[in-house]
Amino acid sequence: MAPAARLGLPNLGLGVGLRSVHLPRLLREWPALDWFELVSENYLECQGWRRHALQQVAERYPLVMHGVSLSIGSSDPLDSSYLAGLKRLAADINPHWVSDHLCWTGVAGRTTHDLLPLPLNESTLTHVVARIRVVQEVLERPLIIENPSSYVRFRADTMPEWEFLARMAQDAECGLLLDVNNVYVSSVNHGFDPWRYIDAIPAERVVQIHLAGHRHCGNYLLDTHDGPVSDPVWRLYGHAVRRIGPVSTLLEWDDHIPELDVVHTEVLKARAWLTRSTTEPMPDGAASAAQAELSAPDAVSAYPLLAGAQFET
Amino acid sequence: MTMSFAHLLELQTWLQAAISAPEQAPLQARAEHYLQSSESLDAAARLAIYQRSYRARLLQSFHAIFPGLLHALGHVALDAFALDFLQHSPPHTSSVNRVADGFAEYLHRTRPAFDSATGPDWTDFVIDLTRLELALLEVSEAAGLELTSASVPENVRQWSDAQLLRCQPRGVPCLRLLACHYPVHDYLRAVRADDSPRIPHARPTWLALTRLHYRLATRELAPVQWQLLSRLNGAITLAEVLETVTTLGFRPVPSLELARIWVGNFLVQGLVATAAPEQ
Repeated sequence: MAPAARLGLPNLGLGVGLRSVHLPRLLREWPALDWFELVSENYLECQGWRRHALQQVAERYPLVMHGVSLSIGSSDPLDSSYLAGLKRLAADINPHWVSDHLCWTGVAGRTTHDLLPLPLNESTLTHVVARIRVVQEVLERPLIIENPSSYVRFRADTMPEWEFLARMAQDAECGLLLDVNNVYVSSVNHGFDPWRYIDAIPAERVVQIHLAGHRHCGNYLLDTHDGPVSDPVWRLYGHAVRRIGPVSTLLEWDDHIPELDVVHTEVLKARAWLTRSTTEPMPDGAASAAQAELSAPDAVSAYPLLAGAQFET
Repeated sequence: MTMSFAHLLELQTWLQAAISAPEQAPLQARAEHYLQSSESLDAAARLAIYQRSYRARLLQSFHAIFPGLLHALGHVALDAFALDFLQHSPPHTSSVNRVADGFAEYLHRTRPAFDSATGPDWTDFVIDLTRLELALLEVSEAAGLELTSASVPENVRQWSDAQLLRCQPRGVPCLRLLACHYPVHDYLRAVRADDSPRIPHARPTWLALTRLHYRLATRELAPVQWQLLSRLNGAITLAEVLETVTTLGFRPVPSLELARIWVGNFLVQGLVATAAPEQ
């Protein structure tokens, strides 16, 4: 039987990442805002003011926990004390769901504090699916896994990322956090068709979408979370919500963070794309037309890697 | 161990080492073996993106944890110390706030040879400041007394001498004590106020750091007060602590009446919680 849309989890609307720099004003003014996503690691060991502030935020806004250290693809054993901490935090603040990334962060007991890519092949898939199942057992809730941005591909790869994610979600019975900016960044870095990626993702398993800014670094894109969402990413988002339907959407802004109003205003731009997705059915060929926009001269000059990029077939 | 798992372990072990030690040529030479090239970047150039990101992220964390050190040393020197430290003590915990755990001990271990007879020097200042900034981070994250009700100082003043001697105060969980060669707390306060302070003159400085109503507080104590506070662990009586501290020879001699005032002040300042004596 096919899973319920979004695994039965709610559409929370348009949210922003909860950042410490915004907490003082947030606690003073309690602005109208749909929901927040917190970075779990910022609160796991904290028993000071930040944790106190989080408890107050949890009483007033829907929350989602987003982790960066689960290291689901590592060859190290899962960190049971980390998982216990996640479970305790979840019990305290009652998030709508808990998410992390398709990545590994370290081996041999070390961490790089980075979201490192995995070789995309059958054995990694088996490894990751088994570990997601364990995490879901421990947390007693579905885990939501995000596609990371990446800058390398391995010689050991045997399948594209979208196929890996789709099979992983089905086999592990987990949810997906579709980061549209990451899809776009990786598509430029690796030369694949981002529209095809979106089309291959099992829509009913997408619980949340991420948006963010990226930076152009000459001959590659870097996922920097330091600015507004770019036009190509908005267009890809429009395509995603047209296909997936209305879904919780969140803007991440982690460097050169502006006032909360600015971040909120940026994510509210998603409304127009959500409206279009429900009122304007995509005509035949619209996806390829949108894809063609990326290859138009102006886009090529902004992202030269796309010039002559070979799309995977 | 299956063959496929062994391959994953081998690849991850290599990539982690290659990212964190870009100067090791044999590791970099393996990039072509594991990584695909793209249209515009070869395997080494793609690996270099992760190397730059690793270094930048960790150094950014050091800058955030050590604003005082950053002011005292500047970016170049702090980054050099940090990178050398990380090479020998790579991060192990999920919290990026803890990437500098052990940094003060590293600085002490690797300090230039010095003559203890000439007194503290610039290196001691750097180590003291490092310990202070790490301790403040710990205080901000540790359990505090915000959600508990501590004894009020009036109680201490009302206790009989016998009750006071039997009480067993203990430092609060977020209490950190530092014995420094320099008044680094004044220096750090000036840095935070954008006052561009110079390195102060050496002066033995006895600090107690705590958190009160979610605000960090730094108290400079007299040596005898610091010695007394450091022994209030909730397991021994104030009488026993006074007896021990008296033998250390500090002035003023810690009489019972002074101890009554000090313990009362420690309570008000959020440095100790008392275990009230039996009536």
